[in-house]
Amino acid sequence: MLDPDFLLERLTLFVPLVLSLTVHEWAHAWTAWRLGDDTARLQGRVSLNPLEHIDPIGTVLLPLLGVPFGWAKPVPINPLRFRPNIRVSTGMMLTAAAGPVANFLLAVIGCLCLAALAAGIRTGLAGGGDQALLTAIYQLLYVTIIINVMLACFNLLPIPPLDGSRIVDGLLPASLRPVWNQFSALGPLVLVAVILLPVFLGVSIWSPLLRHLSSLIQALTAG
Amino acid sequence: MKRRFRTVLVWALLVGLVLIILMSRGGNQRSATYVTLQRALLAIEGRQVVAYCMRADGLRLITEYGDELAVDPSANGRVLEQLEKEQIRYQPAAPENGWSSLLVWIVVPVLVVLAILYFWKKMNISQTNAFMDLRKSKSRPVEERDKAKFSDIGGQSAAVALLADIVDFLKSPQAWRASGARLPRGILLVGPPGTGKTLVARAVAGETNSTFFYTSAAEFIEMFVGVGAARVRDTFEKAAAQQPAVIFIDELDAIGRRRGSGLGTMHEEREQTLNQLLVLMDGLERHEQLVVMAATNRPDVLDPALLRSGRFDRLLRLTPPTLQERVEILKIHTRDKPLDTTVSLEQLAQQTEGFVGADLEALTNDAALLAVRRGRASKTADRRITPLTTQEFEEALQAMTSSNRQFDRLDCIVVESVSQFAEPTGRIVARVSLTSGNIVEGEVLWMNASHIKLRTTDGTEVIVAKDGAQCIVPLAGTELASQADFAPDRWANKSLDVG
Repeated sequence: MLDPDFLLERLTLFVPLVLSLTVHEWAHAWTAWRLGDDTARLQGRVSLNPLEHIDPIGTVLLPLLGVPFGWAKPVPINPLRFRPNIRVSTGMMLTAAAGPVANFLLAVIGCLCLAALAAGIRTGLAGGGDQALLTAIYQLLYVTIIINVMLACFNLLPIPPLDGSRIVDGLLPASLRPVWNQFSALGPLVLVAVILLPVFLGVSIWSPLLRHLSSLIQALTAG
Repeated sequence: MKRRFRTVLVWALLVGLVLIILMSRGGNQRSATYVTLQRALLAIEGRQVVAYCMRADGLRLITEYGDELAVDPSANGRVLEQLEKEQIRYQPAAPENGWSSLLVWIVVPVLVVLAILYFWKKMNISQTNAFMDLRKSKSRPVEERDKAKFSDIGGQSAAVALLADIVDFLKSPQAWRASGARLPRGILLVGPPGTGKTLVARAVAGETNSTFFYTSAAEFIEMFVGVGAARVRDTFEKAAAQQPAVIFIDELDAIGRRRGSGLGTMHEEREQTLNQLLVLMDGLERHEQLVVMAATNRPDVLDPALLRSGRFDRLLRLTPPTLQERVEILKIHTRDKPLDTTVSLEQLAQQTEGFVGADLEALTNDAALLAVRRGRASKTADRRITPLTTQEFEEALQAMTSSNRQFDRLDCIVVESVSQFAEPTGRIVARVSLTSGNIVEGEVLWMNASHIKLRTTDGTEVIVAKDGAQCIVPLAGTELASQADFAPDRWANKSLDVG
């Protein structure tokens, strides 16, 4: 399982993953900073340097071992430090949403690059380039897009430690709050169940998404 | 700027690395080339395809060069038809390792859990071991050469006589067993510090050739509850395994303090330890050649249960040595030291009133050190033989008395009777006028809060109560402030102006 070939293959997935996680965490930290909370900024988290964000186990060890799941260091947010004209719930929602939104944006940028690359190859503009290099860039872009979309969707799940739950938290009517609080306490368990159940049932929750995504990319590259 | 540069550098490295890997894997057979249906059919017809297999994402055609051609799944039917027509063999797919591999999904978490369990268990075991060590007592048999004999004890003849039974029992237990008598197993040695409690215990072990276990009661007490009792048990088990044995517990008052005095868990722990000791002493079997000796200089605070029959029921009082005993002790300690002919141990003993055995040992040792130093200074003399002279003893004595007993001997007199402005210059001779009209004159041996001991010129020693003294006049040994060039202490008798 740990033969060099396997590790190299993991590495090609690892770098886009690190990119996605870095952008994700950076977006959280940056938004919080713009909203007035400089807690994360003071810790140097408003940075695109992956070394500021990676978690040794969640970002490095597990993906390299082939576990298709990862996390980075969480960004500390202190809602009380938001600017006075921003409501705490709004600020938290914006900060939480920033991560997935950034991942979507990155995916869109990746799609544009991919389309440009495909168009370039087709029209011969990039013809002078090394074929192998173009293929490698193509693959890298492809993987980056997929991982970013997956990460954004996963984080939008309304299960408490995830970003989606914070958005729900801000939108929730007061009448539903007791129920939500009870659910929050169970959040991590539910999350584990959501991750592990499809594995044990042998189904992939991602396959519909991936199918649509690949057809979209095909449409883009076909021009 | 520097930070931005670092960020860019990290990304350039990572992306470059991945691109290189992807490029080098371009020809890898696992990554298939996607071809159109027409091309696939052409390749099959042209016999370029030698085999085919099924992978998770669809049909793969394996060419003669080992490359794989992938076809859109919707065209699988047509391709398979063509493959059968050309009779191309099916080759079972090699196991694939990708995101979808269930193996990775299951094996890795299991491995991680196993690793965590393994480390946790390992840590747990080492912790358990640490606790097991904690329960071991630190007492260990004292080596043979550290044992003593009764001949090493100067004086204390009463105590030694009382110990004769014990010694005999350890030497030849048969006679005692035959008589059916229960021999005291616990001996409590009581006496001021330095009077030789440990020495007596060591001598018992040395005389009877039994194993000597030295522990201090303070060693039993640890931060954790129950450890003390476990250590007491451990000591007894160790000793029982090496009979005949003498267990010596120094400073028994550390655990033997009266129960019920004091609050808090620390005291409960102490009491548990004490209870364990009592139980074990009760449980000493007849046939066991085991004697427990304990030492304390605070017998008054001991729990009465420790002193009842069957436990520490024999009490040996070790007293500060008398003149005659001091001579004996000095003889013992100068046995292996070359003495000058001028040295009179009797005179030295007279000068060391109030010294206990340990003090006398230190005195002779100091004198020996001084003698060696003198031998080193005089280059002509043979350094190996530098006999101890009276001068060295005087010097050592002076050093000890001036450092230890200055206050006891002189300052009391100076402060309490004569003047605040006096300096010690040597041995004090004082004249005490008593209320009864008598006058006692002599050298001050010691002095405490209530009494003064004097040795008069004819050698008799007199103890005078301070209450009965009308006045005390130092005749020699102090220098009065009036005689010395000495400014009175400006703090003395000065009132604070508070009004």
